[in-house]
Amino acid sequence: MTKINRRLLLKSLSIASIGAVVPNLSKGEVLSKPYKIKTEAIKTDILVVGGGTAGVVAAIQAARGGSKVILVENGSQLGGTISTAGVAFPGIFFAWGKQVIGGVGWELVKDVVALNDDKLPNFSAPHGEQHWHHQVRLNGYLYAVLAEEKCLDAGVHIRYYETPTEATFRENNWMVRTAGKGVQTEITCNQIIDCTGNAFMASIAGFNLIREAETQPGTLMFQLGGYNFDSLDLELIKKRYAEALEKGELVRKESRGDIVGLLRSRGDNIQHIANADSTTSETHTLANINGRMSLLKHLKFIRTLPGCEKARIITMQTETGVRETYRIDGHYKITHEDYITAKTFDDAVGYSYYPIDLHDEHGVIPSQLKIGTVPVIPLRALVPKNSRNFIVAGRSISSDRLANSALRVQASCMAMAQAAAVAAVLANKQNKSPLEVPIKEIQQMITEYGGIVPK
Amino acid sequence: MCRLFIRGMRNRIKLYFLLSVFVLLTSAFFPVDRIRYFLSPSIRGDITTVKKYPVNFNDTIPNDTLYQNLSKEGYPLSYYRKITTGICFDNKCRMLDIILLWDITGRYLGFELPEGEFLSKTDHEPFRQDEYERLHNILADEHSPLANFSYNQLITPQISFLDVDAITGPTAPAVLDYVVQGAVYTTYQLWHFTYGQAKEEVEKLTIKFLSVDLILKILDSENDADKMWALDHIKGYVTLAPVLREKILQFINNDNYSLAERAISAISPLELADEIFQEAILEKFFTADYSLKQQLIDKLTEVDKLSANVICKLADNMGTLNVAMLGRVIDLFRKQHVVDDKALKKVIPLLKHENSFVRRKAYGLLMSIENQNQYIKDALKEYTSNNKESEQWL
Repeated sequence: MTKINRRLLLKSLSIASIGAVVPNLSKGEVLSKPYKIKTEAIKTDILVVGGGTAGVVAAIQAARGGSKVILVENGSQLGGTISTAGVAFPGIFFAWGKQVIGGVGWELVKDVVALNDDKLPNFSAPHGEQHWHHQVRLNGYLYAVLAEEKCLDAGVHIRYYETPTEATFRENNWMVRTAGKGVQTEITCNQIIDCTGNAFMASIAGFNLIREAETQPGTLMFQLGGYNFDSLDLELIKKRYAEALEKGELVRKESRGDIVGLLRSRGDNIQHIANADSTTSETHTLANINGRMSLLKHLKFIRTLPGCEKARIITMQTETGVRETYRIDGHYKITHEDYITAKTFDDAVGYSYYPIDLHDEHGVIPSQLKIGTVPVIPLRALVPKNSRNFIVAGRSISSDRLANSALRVQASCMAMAQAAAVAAVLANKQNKSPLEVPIKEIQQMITEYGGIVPK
Repeated sequence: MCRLFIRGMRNRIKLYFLLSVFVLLTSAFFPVDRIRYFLSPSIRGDITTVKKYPVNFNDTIPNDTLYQNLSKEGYPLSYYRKITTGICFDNKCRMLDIILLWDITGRYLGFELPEGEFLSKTDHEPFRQDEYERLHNILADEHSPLANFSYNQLITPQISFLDVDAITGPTAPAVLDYVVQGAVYTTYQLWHFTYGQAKEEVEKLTIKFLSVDLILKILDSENDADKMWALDHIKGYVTLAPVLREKILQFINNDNYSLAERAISAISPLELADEIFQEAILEKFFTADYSLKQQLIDKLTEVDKLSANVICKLADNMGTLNVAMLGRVIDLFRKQHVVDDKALKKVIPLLKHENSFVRRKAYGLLMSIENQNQYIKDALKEYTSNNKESEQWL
């Protein structure tokens, strides 16, 4: 029997116990401790929440205006509805032969067009009842990349995958907590620009919101292929579609009751998803699932049609685009009457130009503006009641539903964003709230940066 | 009384004269037995030669000839195609005999019916004058929704394919706004003939005849779409002769954004090798609206080598530029590797600009210079010691 030395025994036991905990590491591997959520406190002049259409423009303008800017985006790229939702035709920048929306938004659009070798429409020819002839079709992927480049060039600090969870106003500054992948951040800022499109930041900050009992449907953009539309028997297809509706296999409003339209457009801005809401993770999850399930149902149906047996999905956006959720209760509410009569305002900061465009289950019939009409956006419609150092830009602008159906379009959101950013920059410099800044100074600065202010 | 009569006659003559001018200008007139509707062509001239081109139009009409009208100088003036096809009305068919005309830019120019011919609708009822005018307007609308209607969508389901203009079934309501009522199929077919393969062939043929002279003539068209077509067919097609350069510069103004934008796009970087032309572009930059300013400064970025005068003028005018444009000019200097001492001395004060965006741009430019003079080194050193906090955002 071998005699065991006590010291040797203890040593061998401790080595054995370590061996039991430490995995057998291969060459090049290192053992990493469990991840600890990183907490950080940072300061900035202006916090832009949401990196979509309005957020990108607001962040670039604010940074070029000389402010320190943090842009918080809960997704993985910039551009929002233009890039992620694929609605890459951002509205109308020219009205009646003249440019009415310019500045940062137009700069982005123009640069995307140039880098993609595309051509702009002839804006000098009136669009008549077909306003889409003045739409600029963009490469949405390129838009996202160029938006990012311009933000970085302007000095914007981008934080992807983060969303605000709390906001407190004290000593003339906002303290906003955000949560993201592995991070919890406390951002202290002087001004907030809410570009979430859902007034989400305004809600967290404690300001009242307005919402319709029934909102406009959302749309998942996709592209179908694998069939020749011109050779299809459309009458037979309509008949088969009616039968599928009758049996409850398909829902009429999801394709606007127009299967031929779906096949002809191949999925371009045709689907309608009821109650699509991107405000929270839960509602947005539902909107995305509903959009994709609707597409799948239709695809399966289409593949049963003669001539469409090989139909397939060519592309599909990652999110269902949302048209309408919450609006702020602002210092001024733009009404339908204001919009269609182009009511003038002393605090005008930009134009909007688009027909009244309310989507419902039957589709949409745009109501064109009368010749010469170019609606106006007042600064007060961007500022929630009872707020300080807070401004919104984008579709959550204070407006009634019909006015909002036109104001929500991306070009108008870009004009608002540039104005909101200028107001925030000046408010920060002057240690004021946006509505306390002399309006002439705001209007002058917007113009200096290429924005177009109604005269 | 007599004077009054004479004055009345004069007025009447004046009125008739004005009316005839109006009719000629709108180019819609009815000779006794020939119906013709024309828009203004991009260029006018006497037709001395007609050339025939065999073309596969890829449509239902057997005719495969595209006719080109040429001037005595040998440039194209217009194109036409003879269309003869059967259109069926309530199971009774008659021939559609019509000549469609295109401008040399591919734009719809008009139509003409052979002597004694007329267009008819349901039950062989002839077109009224307002219906000819409506057809003319529909055919002139390149963006008509007819582009998106399929053949089968023109009428309600009970109608068979060949009976589209028939009285046996109503026209689909969505189509009514875009057709001559009672002549759905005729309108639809003519619109698709107008904007089908023929338009493409017309443009291809005109491109073969392109010269500086022809471009200049099209640029004098009354129609903006023609001018845009000409501007789109300069870069890569013809060289910018001095006279064409002058013409392009005239289009770069704040009156018509679309024309100005296309005019700037028409300039190739090679043409901008000429320093005088660069300076002319720079002059436009100083007077242009914001959106055009951006495009003009980007155009100078494409230049192989920026002229010393342009650099000098831009540097001298930095104080007059707004922040965003100043940023673009600094980017231009950086891309062009500007090392001109006088210009850089204008940039150095920007390191102390009140706007941090401008400061950073200036810093980036000066840092990119390989052989920095001592004054640049000193300025950069001062900047970094004063701007530590702002740098964290880079």
